[in-house]
Amino acid sequence: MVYVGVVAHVCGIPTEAIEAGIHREFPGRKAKAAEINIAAAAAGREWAEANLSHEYPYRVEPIDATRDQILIEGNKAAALGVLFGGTSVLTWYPITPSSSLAEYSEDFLKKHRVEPDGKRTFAVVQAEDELAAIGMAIGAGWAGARSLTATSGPGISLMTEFVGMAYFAEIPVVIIDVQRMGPSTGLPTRTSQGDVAKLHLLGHGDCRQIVLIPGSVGECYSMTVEALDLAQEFQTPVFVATDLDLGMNLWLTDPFPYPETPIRRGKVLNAADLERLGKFERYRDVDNDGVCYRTIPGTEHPLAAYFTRGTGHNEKSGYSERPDDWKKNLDRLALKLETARGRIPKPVIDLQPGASVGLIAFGSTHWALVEARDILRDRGVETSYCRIRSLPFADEVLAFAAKHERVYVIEQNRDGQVYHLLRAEVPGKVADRMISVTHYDGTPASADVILAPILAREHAGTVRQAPQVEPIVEEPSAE
Amino acid sequence: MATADTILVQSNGHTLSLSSLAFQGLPSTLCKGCGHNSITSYLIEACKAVGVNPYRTVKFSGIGCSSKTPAYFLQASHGFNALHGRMPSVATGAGVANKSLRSIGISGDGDTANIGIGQFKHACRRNLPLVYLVENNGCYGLTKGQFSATADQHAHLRRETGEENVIPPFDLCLEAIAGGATFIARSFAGDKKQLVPLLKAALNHRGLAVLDIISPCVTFNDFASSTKGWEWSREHEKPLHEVGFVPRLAEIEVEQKEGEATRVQLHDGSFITLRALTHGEHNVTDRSSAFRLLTESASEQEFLTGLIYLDESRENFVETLNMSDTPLALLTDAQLRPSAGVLTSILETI
Repeated sequence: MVYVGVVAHVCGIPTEAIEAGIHREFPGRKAKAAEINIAAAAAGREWAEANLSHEYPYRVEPIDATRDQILIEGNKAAALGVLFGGTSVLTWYPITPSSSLAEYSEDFLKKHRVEPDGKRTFAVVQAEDELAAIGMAIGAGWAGARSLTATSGPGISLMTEFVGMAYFAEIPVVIIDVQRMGPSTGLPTRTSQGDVAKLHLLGHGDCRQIVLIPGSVGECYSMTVEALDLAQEFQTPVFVATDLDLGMNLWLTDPFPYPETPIRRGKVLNAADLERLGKFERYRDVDNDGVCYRTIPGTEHPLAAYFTRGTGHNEKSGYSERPDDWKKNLDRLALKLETARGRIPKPVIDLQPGASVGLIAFGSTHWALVEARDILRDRGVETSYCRIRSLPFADEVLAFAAKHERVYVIEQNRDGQVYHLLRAEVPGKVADRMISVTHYDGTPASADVILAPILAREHAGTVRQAPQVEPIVEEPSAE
Repeated sequence: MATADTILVQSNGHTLSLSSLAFQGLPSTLCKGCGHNSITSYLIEACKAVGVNPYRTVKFSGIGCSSKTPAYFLQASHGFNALHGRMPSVATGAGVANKSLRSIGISGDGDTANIGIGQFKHACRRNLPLVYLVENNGCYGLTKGQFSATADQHAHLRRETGEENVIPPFDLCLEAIAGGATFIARSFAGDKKQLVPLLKAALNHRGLAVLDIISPCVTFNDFASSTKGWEWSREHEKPLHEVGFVPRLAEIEVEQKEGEATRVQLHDGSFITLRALTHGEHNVTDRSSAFRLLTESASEQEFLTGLIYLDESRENFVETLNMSDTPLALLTDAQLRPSAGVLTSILETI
């Protein structure tokens, strides 16, 4: 605390600000301790005033730039998304760094989702493991709840079999993955974007999952709300891939807006609908968009019931091993993903006229990239930027890649997972222009790790010496 | 009026007259003579008898021969054939999502005692409101007869001369009582007289009702020495008592004769009646008596059947959650999403 007083003097922080800070740290019954600490800080300041004559260049002064902003962790922001997205069943198993997301959610729900009679319009179940957490969430989604579970990489592994089933049986559920460093226990308190490709392809057999990727705490909130609606609309698992850096660190942000659109429930038929239609087949593509109609258990109508199964099934949900039934169903699921491709969050694109360099990034990498672009501009490299916000890739992402001579894909994993997913979807010529830039030591990406390989390449062949960098530029393959 | 082909069921205070077809299902694709087929038919009979409303009932199963059977009954009910060993978690989620539904889960010995023992025991611990039938044949029928964890020690694989099982089995009733289940019975697919009233009572039980039903596999485990076969089970079954079930509405008509039978009232007002045949000292509402009965009968190698334990007083898992009267699945938008003012007030505190 003496040191605090010294620093306050050196940086010109007013005594009142220091005292207010100390009082905030020692509220209520701890107030006695505040006085001692204030005295210690004052002693430090007095000593500094008497003994330090040097003028320091750094000053701390109050400014207005953060007026009306809030300071919040991504996990708490996502928990607000859980609350305002209308989650009714939350199941979870403790795992760093996602535990606080579930705990914040439970706190919000207990406070704001209670009827006047004291009864709850939600349920939170701490499961015995992630197998059960996802099983409960899927059972709840099947029965008509808006269900959600939160976990991290190892939990996702345990959920894989159920996710494959939910994809195939077409059951809505939201899974938030607060990514950490793997494999295995890895670095549980360090950040990563190492699950992205796995989430997109999670399951067994042919699976393609919808993955939303927040780039800010604001999007941790809004994308959780969106994911809850998308899961209902597309009757499928929807992932929200945040990471430890977003999830567990405090970020400054504008306050979150209230959801603009009402809760979306997707294609659900009730008893009156069934009576009017006179027919119901669970897996029939009536609207030719790959998304079928479903009924909720408990619907009192002779046509309502169907048998949900992980086995091969026909349009009536009956068991089928017929090759044409199987193929038709998988093709319809592919069509459903195409429908979703146009309805999930679009990328945020900043096109700079004449820029021949395109940067593609996603998630928490965004913030380092903003800084890196400024520095690149100073060094004569003008860039356009596409921030991916969901998988499968929107058409705009593919078009962005095609527009630039060199496209750097920057991400926080070793193998360039999104780089490879993108290369698989763009024409060969475009794929050859793509360059992977990766960062994977467990720390959040900084502007430096992005700049170094890009500058090395962009300035190669000029008189200017490329900076000394780790060789993390992947050469385009010669295919 | 109910006729032979119509069943009257109660639904939200009104009476529905349903065709008995609503209680049937598709034809079984299991082997002819499989114990599971008998259990399915007794379950249909019990559901009709107690007026189960198929529209308000959900069926669950894991993976295995037994888990195929929800396709063979209550075709007017939604069903969910889940993953191997994971039926309890799906039933938990659905039960929480809509507390107004009645849940029936079908599993087997491999599905419960091997891959699913964890979820089974946690379902017991939570006292999930679920009728949980284990159709127990001591082997994996669907993958051609391998031992399961309920295969008796010294049992033989597939035939008299097959490889011997050297590991003692799990006793699922013992696991259930240790886990905290509140209705625990063992029965036999060949004992209709006992099984039907047990199923009726289970359908009216407040919490988790575990029925471990020996159900012979005619293809892989039905030779003379098999303790899970038809012949051995018929010869060795030792019913604890004669079981009767008295529905709530018929309560007044029943006169209990002194000393003849024990009556235990279920949560909904119905009764189960038990007239002791053996082990007359056993008290079904006493947990330590049930432990003693199970451990002693296991060491004596008795095939005891009947209601082993019953506790109607403990809240079930769904009751503990203090949820709104409207099931979560049916909440309105206004109930699901707090107002904009709530968001503003929360953000002010952050």
